[in-house]
Amino acid sequence: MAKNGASASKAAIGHKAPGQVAMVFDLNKCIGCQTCSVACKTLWTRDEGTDYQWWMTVNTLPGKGAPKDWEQMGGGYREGVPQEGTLPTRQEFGGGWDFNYDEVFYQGKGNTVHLQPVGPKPTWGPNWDEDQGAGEYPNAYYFYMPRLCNHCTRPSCVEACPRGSMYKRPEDGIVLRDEDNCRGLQFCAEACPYKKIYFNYIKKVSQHCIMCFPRLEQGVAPACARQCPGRLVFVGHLDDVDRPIHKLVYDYEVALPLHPEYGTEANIFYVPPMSPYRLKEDGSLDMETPRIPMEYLERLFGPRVHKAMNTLQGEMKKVRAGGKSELLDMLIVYRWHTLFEPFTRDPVEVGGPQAVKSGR
Amino acid sequence: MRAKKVSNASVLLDPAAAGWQKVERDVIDLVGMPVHVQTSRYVRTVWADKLVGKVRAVSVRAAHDGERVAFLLEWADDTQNTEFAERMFPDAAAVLFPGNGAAPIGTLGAPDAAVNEWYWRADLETGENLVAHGLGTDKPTNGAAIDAKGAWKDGRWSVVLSRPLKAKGADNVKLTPGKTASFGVTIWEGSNRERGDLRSYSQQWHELTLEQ
Ligand code: SF4
Ligand code: SF4
Repeated sequence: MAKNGASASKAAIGHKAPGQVAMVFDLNKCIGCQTCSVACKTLWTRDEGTDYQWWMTVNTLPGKGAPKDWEQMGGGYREGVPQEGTLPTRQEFGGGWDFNYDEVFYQGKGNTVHLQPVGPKPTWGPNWDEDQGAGEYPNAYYFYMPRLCNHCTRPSCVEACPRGSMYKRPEDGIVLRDEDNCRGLQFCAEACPYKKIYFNYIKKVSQHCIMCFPRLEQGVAPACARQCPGRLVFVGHLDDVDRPIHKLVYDYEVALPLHPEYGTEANIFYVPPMSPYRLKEDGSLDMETPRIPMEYLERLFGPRVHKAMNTLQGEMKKVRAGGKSELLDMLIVYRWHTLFEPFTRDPVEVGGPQAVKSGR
Repeated sequence: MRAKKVSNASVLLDPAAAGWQKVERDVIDLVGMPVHVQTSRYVRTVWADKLVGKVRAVSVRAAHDGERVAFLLEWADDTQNTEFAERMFPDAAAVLFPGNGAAPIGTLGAPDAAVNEWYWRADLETGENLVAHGLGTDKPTNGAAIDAKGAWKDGRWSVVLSRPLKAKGADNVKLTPGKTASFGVTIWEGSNRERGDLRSYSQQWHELTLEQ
């Protein structure tokens, strides 16, 4: 096992809370189906005032994402100093679209009228640049980027709140907000570099992903992870040395935080996407140049992405030559519960998704 | 300044009520809440070079009828901000009272000295009764209901804040005809993204004598 350098990299990453809950998304398996987004939406953001909130979003990369151009919105830290951030607008998040459900479903026009947004024509959405990608045929490329709050180790949102309404739970590092003490000042949303905090226009408070803590408390994995048909979302404790998250992040170093330069020390990690070979002009395989430019991946995941890619490619080579790879076996996920241990309980066992939500 | 004795203060809940013209006004200077006292390092860092407290003067009138007191605050504001929208915040204002004689206004009270804040915000239907024990601590509190109504016209806000003289709760100010109380004013300019302790305020307590 690639144990070398594990402790060194741990020290470099910082002091993680013991028991920090983390996730790893293997981007090589994400099919952009949005089941995760919808699982979250139906569980947490159905009330009035949350219509435009998508705590989980999956964007096509390269792209501007949601909120639009969020990577240009600042926030986070540079050399430990808080950076000014922009407050994203509802429109930049994509707004909440109203649809002509009534017309299509109840007015007998199901065969004549398309289901479509009503009101002002939307100019952005939570996945507006879907499947656009970059590059030229036949070497075009794109991949999907599922994003949620990173439950950061140095959450700039928590530090920015002048009222102390936000906190990081000591037992598992989940970043939460006391909504009763929140006055909608939105300094958190300015300071979050991942732009994952939304404003509830009815309750006049900020809101964000709660890592499905009522589910975790009952041993059930978060809805986005549990519902993912791609079986690519690992959930677990970062310091659980025998389980995949720790191994992927620290031992193999193939799971990386998005934009580590933001300085908040994200606890959501990604296995970077390996792309199919490029085609040369004569139609033969170009095995030297990666289809997804490494400069682009480095912009997303920092310089450690090179080592991660080398490790992944090395392991694949090994297996192709008939060898065995613990790393690839782990990423293939032969047994689904290896994804979630110790959060493997079925939501049905505890009364169904909505019951878990209310903490019954 | 004096709170004029009127026969019916309830008619003054409308900022445009003619009765207000018969009440003398005082102009109170405001200053920006200093950036270095802000409780958030993010705010201290990011606002270090920014202007805090765009509104620098407010006209104040006060009247009571023995049961209820009303304040009319008026200030110049080119931008009417009535919502949380487009990186801006709703305009807001409050009349402040020291919960006991000693509460400092510059820090909005202290752990053992409350400041009572009669609060109006342009997006809210009614006023809020807030109590603060220092910066970043103001919270809605029971025991007193604040009536508030704002009107914006020709680059000027006119806001009435009103409450019965009596109130329940140790931290809610009690006002008595014939007596002198201390008060202050604070204004948030939404277009300048002022909210929380990013605001302008009267640097000292001012005296308010309720006519007998
Ligand atoms: S992603 Fe943003 S909201 Fe979530 S913990 Fe980090 S800074 Fe806070
Ligand atoms: S549910 Fe899984 S496969 Fe589908 S978009 Fe989400 S992460 Fe990707």
